[in-house]
Parts: sequence; C-alpha cells; structure tokens
Amino acid sequence: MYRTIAIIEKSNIIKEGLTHLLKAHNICSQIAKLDSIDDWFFVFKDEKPDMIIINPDRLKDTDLDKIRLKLEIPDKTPVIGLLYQYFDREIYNMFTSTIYITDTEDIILGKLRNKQKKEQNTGEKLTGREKVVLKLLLKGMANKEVADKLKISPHTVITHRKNIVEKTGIRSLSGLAIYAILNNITNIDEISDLEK
Amino acid sequence: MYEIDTNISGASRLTNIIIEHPNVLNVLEYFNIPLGLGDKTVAEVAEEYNIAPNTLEVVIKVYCRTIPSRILNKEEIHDLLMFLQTSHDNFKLVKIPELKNLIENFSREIPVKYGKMLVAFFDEYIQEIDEHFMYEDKKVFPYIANILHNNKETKDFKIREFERNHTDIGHKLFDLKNILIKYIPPTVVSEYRKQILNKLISLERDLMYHTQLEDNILVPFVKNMEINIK
Repeated sequence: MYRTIAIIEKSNIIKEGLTHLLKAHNICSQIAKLDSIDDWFFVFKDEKPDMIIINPDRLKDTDLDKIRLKLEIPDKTPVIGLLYQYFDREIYNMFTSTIYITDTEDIILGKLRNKQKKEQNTGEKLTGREKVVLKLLLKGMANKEVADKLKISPHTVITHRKNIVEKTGIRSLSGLAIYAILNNITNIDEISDLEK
Repeated sequence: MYEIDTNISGASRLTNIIIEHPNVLNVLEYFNIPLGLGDKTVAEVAEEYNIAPNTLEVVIKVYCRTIPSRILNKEEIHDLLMFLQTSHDNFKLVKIPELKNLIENFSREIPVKYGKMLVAFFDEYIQEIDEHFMYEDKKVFPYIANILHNNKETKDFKIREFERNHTDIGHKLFDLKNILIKYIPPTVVSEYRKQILNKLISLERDLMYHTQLEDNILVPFVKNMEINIK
C-alpha cells in the first residue's frame, strides 16, 4: 500500500472520482488533491508522496526530469499521466505509466498497483552490522570515523544510517540513543554527550 | 490530507468550522478570540476582534489542512506576524511546559534509568525549540516588522538567511512519539503516556501549520518586498 498519492488535476469530478477509487481499493492511506503544481511546496515539504497522478495540462514544462528536479521528486517515484484528451506521444512517453479516464476500474487499478514499490522495511529488527554502526555513532563518532573503524566506505555508513532511521522510526541521534538503551544495544556509559 | 476546500470562506460560520476541525481552537487562542461565538461568520469575528479578515481566513484554512490563497497585502501580513508571535509565546509558556510536566510525571512510573533519559531528551528538545523561537523573535520578526513599516531593509539581514536556517523543529517530537508508542516497555499505569501522546500529536500538527504559514506565506511576501525595494 502506498502512503501518500498526490493527484494534480483541475476537475473536481475527476479528482473526487479517482479519490473514491483509490480509497475503495485501499491503494493508499492518504491522498493529496492539488489544483496545480504551484501548490506543491505548500503541501509537501520533507515528506514527498510515493506516487503522483497528474493531468499533463497541469505541467508547465514538457520535460519531466526538469519538473522532478524542481519539485524534488526522487527518480523512483512513479509519475502517472492522467489523460482525457489527445496528447503528443512525446508527452505521454515521459510518464512512468498513463491512465485514461475511459479505462475500466480494473485497468486503472492494475496500472497503479504495478508501480507499487516493495514494502517498506519499517518495523524490521536491526541487523548486527546496523547495531554496530549505531553503537559507534552514539559514541560520538562521525560517519567518516565509523567508516574507517569498520573498514567500509562512508557511503555504506550513510546507507546503514538511513536503514536504521527507517526501521526504528527515529531520526535524531539522541532519540536513537534511547532506542539503543531500551533495546540493550548499548548502555548509558558508552554514549557520548549528544548535543545535536 | 490537503485538498482544495471550497467550503471555508469569510462567510462560513466559525462554529461550524470548529466542530469539523477542532484544530482551529488553537487559532482562536493565538488570535485571542474567546469562545461564545454564536452564529458569527469568519469575517464578522475578524472585524469584531480587529483582525484583517483575509488573514483570519488564511490561517483557518491552513489549520483545516486546506490550501489558502497566498496573496496577502501588507496589513494582512502584519496581522499574520502578530499571530505567529503570539503562537510562539503560547508554545513556550503553555503547550511545552504542559508536556514537560506530563513527561516528568510519566518518568516516575517507569524504571528510573529510562525516566531520566526521557526527561533529558525532552529538555534537549526544549532547548532546541527555545533557540529556534528566540532567533525568530529577536532577529527575523523584528526585521519583517521593520520592512513592513518603513519600506526599508536592514543591511545586516536578508530573509534568505532565515530560509536557510529554518530547521525542522518537528523531528524530535516525531521521535518521542515513536519512543512512547513503540519502545518504552508497557507500564501498569499509563494514563500519562496517553495524555502525553495526545498533546504531542496536537503540538506536532500545530507546529506544522505554523511552519507552513512562515515558509509559504510570510517568507515569499518578504522576499517579494525585498526585490521591489531595490
């Protein structure tokens, strides 16, 4: 299931119809309905939607890559074209997929479900390696120092960090310190005075 | 989630909005509008309490998770600034101390070592948020007030600086929520934990709307003024 899908479309009838469809079939838990791209940053700051369904006439640029860059949409986020009129092939080729308003429910759902990313790893236990990384970070070591100590690349450390945050649902180091103590990954004496 | 809601306007009855969106109670609090609203509309209430009607409407819309018009004039921005300032005071003097108090009570119900960590974590958060508000109260808001009144910039500050420094103050609250829900082991008496969570979630939302008003309405307006002054 997606967390958030953004629908960018002018017509309320279409917007509501699509919303109804997505809700009835549990495709996502949240739907953000926007009239235009101008509202984008108002609605999405840190957390971006997992999928975007947009009417091409709402795009101000025909280069989707530029739009992704401007709106800070990751490459892996599917952008689905919502079509109800003729558009140049070039335009609909740029979308991950397209749906037509004349499509049947099954076709639309099939197209949207296909694009679903694999389940998020929220709630999974930390691996042994992640625990070691966390322990070192809590000692006050920087990414680079952890990398040197474990003889891995700083990039790998960052990936571990990302996974730790995703799995635990905790973003700050001081929050992670509490997590680590509660889960016996480390103990209080091993934690440096974490300010930030 | 956000959507275009055409149902809220200056002509809507404020009571109806509150029943549908209880978050708006915070808006009344920060604008100093007492309850006992009768059947007054948003516009009527604004007039009675000397608030630019458009400002009240925009703030209410944001607190109802709908997308407002973002075109305000100087007087309206001025009232928005006042709103943001009184919100800060309320966060600092009411909402956060309330939470702190509850966390201290809860910390006595769990093993001492966990309790201490929890209190320390929240203290750290208080320090962080105090610094954040202090910067805005002492530096950013006076700058904006000055530019609004005198139509002149101050040399040593530009709104871009604020934009760059405007950190997310929600992270730690988000963490605390997860720690309380998922990780602190079950306790026998848990009334406090529930109360903390309720307040936490409501504060988190409140801060989110607050930040939205700053980032999406206040900052773009000031940026525009800076350009026009040159």
